[in-house]
Amino acid sequence: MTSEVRQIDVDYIARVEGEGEMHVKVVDGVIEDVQFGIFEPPRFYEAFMEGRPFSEAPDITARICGICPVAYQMSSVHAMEYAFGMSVTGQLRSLRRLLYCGEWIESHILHMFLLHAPDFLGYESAVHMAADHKDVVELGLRLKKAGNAIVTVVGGREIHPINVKVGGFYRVPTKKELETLVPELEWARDAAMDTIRLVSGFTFPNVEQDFEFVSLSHPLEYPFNEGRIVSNKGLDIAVSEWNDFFLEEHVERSNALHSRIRERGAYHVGPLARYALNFDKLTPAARDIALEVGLGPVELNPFKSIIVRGVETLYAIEEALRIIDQYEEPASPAVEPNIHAGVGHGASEAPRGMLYHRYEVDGNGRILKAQIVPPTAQNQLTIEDDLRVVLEDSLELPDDELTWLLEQSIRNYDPCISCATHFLTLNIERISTK
Amino acid sequence: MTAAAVVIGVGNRWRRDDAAGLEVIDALRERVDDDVALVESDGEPTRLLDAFELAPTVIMVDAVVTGSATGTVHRFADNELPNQMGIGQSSHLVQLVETIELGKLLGKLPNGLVLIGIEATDFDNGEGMTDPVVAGVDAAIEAVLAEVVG
Repeated sequence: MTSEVRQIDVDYIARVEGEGEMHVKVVDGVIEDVQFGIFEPPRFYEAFMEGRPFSEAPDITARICGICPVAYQMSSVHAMEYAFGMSVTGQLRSLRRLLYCGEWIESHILHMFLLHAPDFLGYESAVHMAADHKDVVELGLRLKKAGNAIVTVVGGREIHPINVKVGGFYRVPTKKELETLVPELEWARDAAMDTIRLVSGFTFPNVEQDFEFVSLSHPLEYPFNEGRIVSNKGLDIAVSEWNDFFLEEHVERSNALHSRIRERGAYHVGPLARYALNFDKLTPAARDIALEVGLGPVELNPFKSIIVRGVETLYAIEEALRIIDQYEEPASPAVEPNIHAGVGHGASEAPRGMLYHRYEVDGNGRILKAQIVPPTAQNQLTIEDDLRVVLEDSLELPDDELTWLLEQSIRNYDPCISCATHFLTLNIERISTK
Repeated sequence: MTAAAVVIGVGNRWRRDDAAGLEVIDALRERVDDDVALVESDGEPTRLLDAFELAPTVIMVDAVVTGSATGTVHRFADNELPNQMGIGQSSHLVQLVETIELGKLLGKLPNGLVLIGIEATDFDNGEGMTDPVVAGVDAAIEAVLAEVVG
């Protein structure tokens, strides 16, 4: 292998948008500093949208992330609809949930099987794992395809769905088109249960934190698109109050803004948070299997997020089947917005956590200002806290094993490199002054 | 499998030179017969694995950085690609080379794969490729056609 070819590594790292690094400093066995830095927030997109028509927000923001474009589309359309004082109901609302089901299945399965499972099974990568566990990888790929198929049918195409607009969709699927998804989703329901049982058999580091979990909460359903923002420590606010209760701070080591709850600090968004705050809204089968494999209704061990992703995947499959069963083609694919100047707020539950958008639009519907707060930026402080806890318990490990464990800890959050960062330069500095 | 060959362009149109692979696909739409499948990819591994199955001959086009002059077009067979496997490469996506390895392990690339790489430099946010990469795209189109026809 020549050194010339080796440098392709750098290219691929560059291509996947963004970069992150972790820095750990240990002096005489004492942790002095832990930093998890994200270098690429979607600030470019916020600036880029200024002056553009409101109608372009869903498609522009969908480009921020190849893994969770639906989340960006959903938060943006809800924010615009809020600004125009409209709401989307009935089958159109259900179709949005169905699209989100597809994205959760795709994203959770990709993370569980190809990125996180190798950590637990002791493989350096999915490729190493596939050599010994071909069946497991193939199970994951087939499950993911069931999610892809939903996004393709409802979203218009597989990557960067283009069918979503403010007020609804450009085109709605026929009942027949949706019904073609059913047999594979029925298979996926059983496969998801097998998956939950499989991952719950992994060995989990014994780490728990007193997290402040934050997610949307809706009185009737497990949250995707709508609800109030709640926490397990008493927060209960409207989405429009985000900036009153949360703060985005510039931190010197990172281009990304770190979010915190005002006067309180770090918080945790994502599967563990949604699960803890909405356990009673899961389907009975999802609740039952969660308890069967030993999860409580609240899970404080971040390493067990892989099991919770499985439970949410099962929920998404069952919710998709329910929506398809009850689907009737709506008379119109979209509600026309009544455009006027205003400020809009939207939050939805991306696979890796709550995604908040805020827009100011003028009387012609042009975007004056955009604010996008992705889940990974919100989790950044919590990830650093986790790293500190894991380090304290594991300082005796050699650098390579410690690196592995710390990376695994970061992967608990499925950090979004496409919207926030790419990975990962790790730097452990051990200084001895004696 | 109905196509004789599949050409997969990998990239991101909002990251300057990284659009190169996708630009090649755009141009090929006018240049190839129906038996050549054209696929755009953002590099997401599971969809790439699906795309591998579309045809016995698989050609991938992507921006690369090897240190040669910007716009240079490279040709790599799959066994000439560097081994990028290992922890820490990505928290979120499986690397392209890893995906190719995975495809081979799962029997999705019985005839291997050819990567046409276009040497690129500017991966900043925004649209528009640098001039040498625009020229490189033209050369890469011919390189792909040679693989498909050849």
